[in-house]
Amino acid sequence: MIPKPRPAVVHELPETGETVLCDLEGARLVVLNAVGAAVWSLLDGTRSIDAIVDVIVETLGAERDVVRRDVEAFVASLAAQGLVDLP
Amino acid sequence: MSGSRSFFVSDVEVVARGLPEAIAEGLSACFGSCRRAPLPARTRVVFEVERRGDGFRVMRDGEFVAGAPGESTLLPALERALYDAFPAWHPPPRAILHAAGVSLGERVLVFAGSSGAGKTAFARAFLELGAGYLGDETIFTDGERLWGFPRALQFDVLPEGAPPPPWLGEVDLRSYRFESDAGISVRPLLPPPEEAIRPGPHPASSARVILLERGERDTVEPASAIDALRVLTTEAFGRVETDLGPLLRAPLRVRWNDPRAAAERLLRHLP
Repeated sequence: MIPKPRPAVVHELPETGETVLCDLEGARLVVLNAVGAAVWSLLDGTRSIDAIVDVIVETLGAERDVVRRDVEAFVASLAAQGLVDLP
Repeated sequence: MSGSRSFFVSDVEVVARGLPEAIAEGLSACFGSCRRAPLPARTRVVFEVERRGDGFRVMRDGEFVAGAPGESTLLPALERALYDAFPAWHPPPRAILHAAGVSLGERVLVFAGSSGAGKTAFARAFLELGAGYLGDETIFTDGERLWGFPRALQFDVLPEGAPPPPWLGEVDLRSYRFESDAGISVRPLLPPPEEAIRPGPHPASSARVILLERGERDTVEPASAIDALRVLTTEAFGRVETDLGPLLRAPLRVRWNDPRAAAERLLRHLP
């Protein structure tokens, strides 16, 4: 499955180090943790969920099943907020 | 019997032609302080006003954008056409913030809040305290720099003949009369002093966002960067296509009853 990100901007808050994802209309605002920010940056409309999981597993050295569950849940929550289209 | 006026909105030169003399004067009163482009001019947009019977048609680059049934309704129609065009004129990545801005030395205070929250009142209070002026309603940013649109400060509309509220003081009430369903109204304008006009560009990192709210008394407290981001993005004109993070260092929330006293209280909170 290849998720398609909608246009959005990542705001990097200078003092807290938080990363906030915001749609261009300013209607939806999602605070991302480090893994969420990494997943968002990997969502380019060509990578599948599997490919994204591969990169995260390789980068973090975490267990694949756990990463897959987290990535799927995160992408589903972005889709529910209209920030990602799922085929 | 027709005049023309030109001024700059960001890096766009705006030219208005075919103006009845009173409307040309009204435009000068509103935008005469925007004669210098804060960035090198990138393009030019021409508004032509055409008389049709008793009324007027406003064309933008040859396309109909607004109509006015008479001269007394033409200036607000022109202004609306101008503001409607803002987002289209500004290529991404940019954001056009609904905010006032003043400069204090190297620092820029960006006053954000919904209409009526006090942006113009705070811009005026800080002008009286000797600050530089970016604008009372519109701040542009590309994430690295921010710059203003230093039009005359515009206060809330009054019915013609109504006694002005005492706090308006020396504001020129004759500058901008217009007609609407509510009858003849007056838009009080205060041109910024020439020496105070400093639209920038300023470094985005020099900004301090101040969230404004009306309150029973004057208070100043820290605000969260996320709250500030939420206000900036929901109030922005058009899309926000750039990272506003650089503007969001240590935002403050000001609740105010008296804008001048609250401005002085805010000054004491700034290092």
